[in-house]
Amino acid sequence: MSAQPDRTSADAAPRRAPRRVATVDLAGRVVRLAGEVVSTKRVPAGHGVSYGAEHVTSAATTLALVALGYADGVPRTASGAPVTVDGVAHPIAGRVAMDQVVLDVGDAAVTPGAEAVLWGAGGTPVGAWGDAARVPAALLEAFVGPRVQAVVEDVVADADAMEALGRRLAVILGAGDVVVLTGELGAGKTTLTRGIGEGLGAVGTVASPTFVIARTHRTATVPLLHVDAYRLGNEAELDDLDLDVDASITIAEWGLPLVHAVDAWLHVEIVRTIGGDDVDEPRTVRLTGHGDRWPASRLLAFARGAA
Amino acid sequence: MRHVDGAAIAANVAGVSARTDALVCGVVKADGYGHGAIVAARAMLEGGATWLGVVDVVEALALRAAGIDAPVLAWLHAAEPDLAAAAAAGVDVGVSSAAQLDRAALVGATVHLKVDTGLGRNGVPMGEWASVVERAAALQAAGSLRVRGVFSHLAGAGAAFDAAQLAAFVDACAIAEVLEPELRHLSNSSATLALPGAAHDMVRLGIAAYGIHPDGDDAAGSAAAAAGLRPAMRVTGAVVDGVLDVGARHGLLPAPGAPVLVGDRVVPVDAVGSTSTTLAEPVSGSAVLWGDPADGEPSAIAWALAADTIGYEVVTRMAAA
Repeated sequence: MSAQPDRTSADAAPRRAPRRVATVDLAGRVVRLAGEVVSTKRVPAGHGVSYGAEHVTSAATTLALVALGYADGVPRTASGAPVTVDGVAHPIAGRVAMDQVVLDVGDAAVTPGAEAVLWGAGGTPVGAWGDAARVPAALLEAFVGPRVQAVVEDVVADADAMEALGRRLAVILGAGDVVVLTGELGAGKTTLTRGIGEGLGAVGTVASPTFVIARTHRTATVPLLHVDAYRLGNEAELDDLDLDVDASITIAEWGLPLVHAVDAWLHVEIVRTIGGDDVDEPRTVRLTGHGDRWPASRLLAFARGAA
Repeated sequence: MRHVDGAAIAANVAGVSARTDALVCGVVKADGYGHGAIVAARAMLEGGATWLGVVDVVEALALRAAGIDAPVLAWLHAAEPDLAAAAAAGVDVGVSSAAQLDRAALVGATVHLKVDTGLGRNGVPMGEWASVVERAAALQAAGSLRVRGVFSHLAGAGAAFDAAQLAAFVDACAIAEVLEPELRHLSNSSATLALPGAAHDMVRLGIAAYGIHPDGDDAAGSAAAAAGLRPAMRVTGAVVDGVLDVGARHGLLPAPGAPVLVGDRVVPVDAVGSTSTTLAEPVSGSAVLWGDPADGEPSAIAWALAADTIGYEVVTRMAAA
């Protein structure tokens, strides 16, 4: 297993809060919890670490601070459980605090900003982590707190499953929501949109909008606005279309250039797991929420909702 | 279901304020220890807190977005911190290294310099304190930033450890005198109640404001009551044939044996599941998981003891997930 690299430019930009990311599968399980080393410092031997000074450094060492605590999903019973940084598992030194844990990394060259993985890819398997943390692994997912960013990621087996995922998404979408779909040609963006349309009871066939730029479908409730941004040059052109985003559910294929014109959006990335154009090959889908409308709780509720 | 009594938070803060000359910083990090940050912040201010404390700038900006314009301090930042938004919103930032100091200077932030007096988390190590203070003085003289405060945090590792940390803090403040800081602050809830001599200019009140005594074994609530503290959180549910409609996803820690009040009977927890909890007897009725022991209800600390933890974690897990 390898650590998942940061995939969006936002991850490299300065942050207003420490990085805290839970990866959730389409069955609602938190398959990975990771943060970042926010700071490191050298301390001498005999230095206490965290509340109660239950851990005392045995030699001059580097202490690495990771901004994930029991408010975020690290149970307080997880003192001693492993946190993996640069491929090396370090036990949580001393008590787990509300907002942070400390790692006593010795002379390891740990750099602030390094990813710190509790469980999942690049870290400890969830079952073993739960054992070390003295919490049933099945309950770990319930521990993730509201400061943690949720990323829904899973493999979708074929086109039918992609359409079913769209129907599932339709359940949580409402007026004003903007869904940005990215993925190469033939990745399944229109298939997913067709599923969303079915879920909403859209009137008319949802097809690739490549030649129309935008098409509005009436539904049982909120209109579905299906946009192809592939040929849109900039947000001014979007404004020119005079689309009623606030009163619609907007699905924008190739929509990343549009996000500067909206306050919040759900980004759905579709990546072919295997090469080739066959629509029935498995795809990896990754959903991230951006802006106030998409707190972690909304993505978790989606992932935990019935398939 | 979580019920939060803002009046209890306000009264707890007012009670503690009355017993100290120091200013009170109400700590509302982690969604106000699970009580709701905005409700808690308003109640703390009503009770006489003049400052609010949070962990990160996102939490601080959420207070601002709710129209709360009281002074706010945020002290735990990303490795590559964006402090510009904090400076623009009038949020003070805790600074724990020379690198963070330089970041703060770039955006003209107002900072509280943090010294590590023994906790081993963030804070400038004592060995680097003098040089960081010197750097801060130069930046302050150049008008690049303002140092409003100097602070540290106690490890709660016993009286001797407290005394050593307090002495180290006094030394650090002497070195930082050149910065003319207006606020020196060290005390958490525990020290505010037990070590009045540590208060300096401001105390940071977290768990006590929520009506839970910092001592971990106060299941009966007698220590809290003696300190004039009333629990602000009450968690209720419905039980049908021994199955309670609250589970881990609602915030419950697994706590076999924890007491649940069903009607007028106390029934122990058998097992906490994902979305429900099984009690040891097939009772039915309305249930109180924890609330105010003075009213005959179980305490959050009773749940904590059954879960092998402390009251802080029990209430914090009830944050709006």
